Amino acid sequence: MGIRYLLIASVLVACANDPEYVKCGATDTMDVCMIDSANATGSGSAASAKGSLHVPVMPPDMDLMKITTDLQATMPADVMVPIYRLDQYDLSVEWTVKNLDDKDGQFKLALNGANEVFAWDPSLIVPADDEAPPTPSLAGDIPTDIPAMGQVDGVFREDQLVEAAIDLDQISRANINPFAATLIINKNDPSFQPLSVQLPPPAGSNMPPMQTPTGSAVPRAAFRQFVRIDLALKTLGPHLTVEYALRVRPHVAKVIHDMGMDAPAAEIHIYDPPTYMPGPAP
Amino acid sequence: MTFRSGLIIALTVAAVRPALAAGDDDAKPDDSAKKADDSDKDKADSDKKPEAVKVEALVAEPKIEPPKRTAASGFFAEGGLGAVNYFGKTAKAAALGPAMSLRLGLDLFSWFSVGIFASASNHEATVPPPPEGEWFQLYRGGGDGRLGGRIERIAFFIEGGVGIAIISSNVLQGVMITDPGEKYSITFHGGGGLEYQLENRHFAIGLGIDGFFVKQFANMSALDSRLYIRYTYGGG
Repeated sequence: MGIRYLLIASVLVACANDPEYVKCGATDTMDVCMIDSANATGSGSAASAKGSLHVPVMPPDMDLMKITTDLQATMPADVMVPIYRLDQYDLSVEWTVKNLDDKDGQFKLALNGANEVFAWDPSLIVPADDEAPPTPSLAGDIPTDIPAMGQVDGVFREDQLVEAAIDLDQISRANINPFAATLIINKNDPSFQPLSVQLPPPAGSNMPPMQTPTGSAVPRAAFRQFVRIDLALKTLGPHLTVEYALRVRPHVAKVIHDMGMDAPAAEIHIYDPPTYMPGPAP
Repeated sequence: MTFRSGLIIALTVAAVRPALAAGDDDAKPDDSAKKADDSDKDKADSDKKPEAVKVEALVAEPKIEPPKRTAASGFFAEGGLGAVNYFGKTAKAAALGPAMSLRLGLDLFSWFSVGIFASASNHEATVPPPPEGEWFQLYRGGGDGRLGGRIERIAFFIEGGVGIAIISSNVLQGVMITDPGEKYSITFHGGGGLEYQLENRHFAIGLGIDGFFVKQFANMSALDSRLYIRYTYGGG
C-alpha cells in the first residue's frame, strides 16, 4: 500500500515540474522573438540587435500574497521579499542563429534580463574611459563562429539563468561591482551581503574608499527571479537572425500562466522596470 | 523336596538332554530320495512345449492425449511494453517513442470482457528549433471492451475504447498541434491482437496493436503496439 501511494505521489510531482515553452504571443506586442542583425543599432563593435521576451507570470493572488507576507515576517526588517522568487520557477533559453549570407562569420549572443524591480542593460552604461572594459552582460557574450548559410543552436541553461538572476540582484540591491558579480559563481550562495554605495576616489587619491557591509544579509529565499529575458546579438559580419524560446519550469502553482504570452492581458503581469544604473566606477 | 535333591535332579537332566536330542534326529524319516524323483519329473515336463494360449485384450490400450490448455476466467490484469508511432502532421513533430500500459478488467463472458486502461509514452519533439532535443510525454487513460475467441492455446480479440489524453508540455504548440493552455483531450482507440495461453491457466502472453485518435490535439493519430503479459485471477 505504501509503494502504491509513493508511485501516485511521484507522478503528481513529476507533472508539477512539467516545462512550458514560451514564445512571443498576442498579449505583449513589444516582445521580439526573432532578432535580425539588419536591425542593429549602434556602431562598430557596440552595434547590436536586441529582443526581449516576458515571463508569463500571473498577478499574485491571495494565496501567493499570504505566502509572501509570511515569508517577510521571518526576514529582517530591511530585507524586502519579492513576489517572484528564485525558488518558484526555473528558466532556460534555447536559441538558434542562422547565417543568411554566403560567407562565414562570427557573432556574440548576450543574455540580460529584468526582475520585478530593475532591468540590466550594459549598453547603457558608458565605461569610465577608453581603456576601461565594457560593462559585462549577465550571461553569454561569447564569440561563436558560424559557417556560411549555416545554423548554430545553443541554450542558456537553468543554472546560467539562476546565476544571472542572482548577479542582477547583487548588482542592483547590494551595490556589488558588476564585474565582481558576473565573474564570481554565486548560483549556490545561501545569501549575499549588501554593501555601501561605491564612491569615487577622494581628491588627491586614485583609490576609491572601500565598500562596507550595510544592513542585513539577503537570504536565498528572498532572491529575485527574472520576469523578462533580454537578448542582444552582436555581429560585424554577415546577415544573421536569431530565434529563441523561453522554457519555464514552474515549481509552484498559480505563478506561471499555462497559456504563456497568449493569455488574456488581465491574467498575466508584464513587468518593464527601469534600467539599473550602478554607482560611479572606480 | 529339599534344595539338595532339586539340584541333583537338575544337573542330571542337563547331562542327559543332548543324548535325548540325538536320538530324535535319528528317528526322522529319510525323504531326500523322494525329492530327487520329483525334480526329474519336473524336468521332463519342462522339455515339452507349452500349448499356445490366446489372450484377448479385455480393455483397449489407452491413448494418452496431452491435457487441454485451459484458461482462467474472471478478473485480470495486463501489463505491456511497446511503442507509439504517430501519423500525419504529428509525425513531423514527434518521433517514435517507448510506451508502457496497464489494463485491469473482468471477463463477463468467455467472449467479452470490459476493463480500464492507463498508458504512457515518451517522445522527442522534432519541431523546428528552437526548442531542440526536448521530450514530452503523452498519458492516456479510460475504459474499453474486448471481443474475442479461442482456438486451443491461441486467443484472438478485437477491442475498442474511449478515454482522456494528457500531454506533459506545450512543446508542440509551436507547430499548432496543441493550442495555448491546452493539455487535455478526449481520445478513442481500436485494434486487436493475439494471445497465447501458457500451461498455467492464469498466465497468458499477447501482442496487441491499437490505433488511437486524440481529437483536441489537432486530430493526432498514432499506432500503439505492445507485448503484454496477462494474469487472470479466476478459475478455469
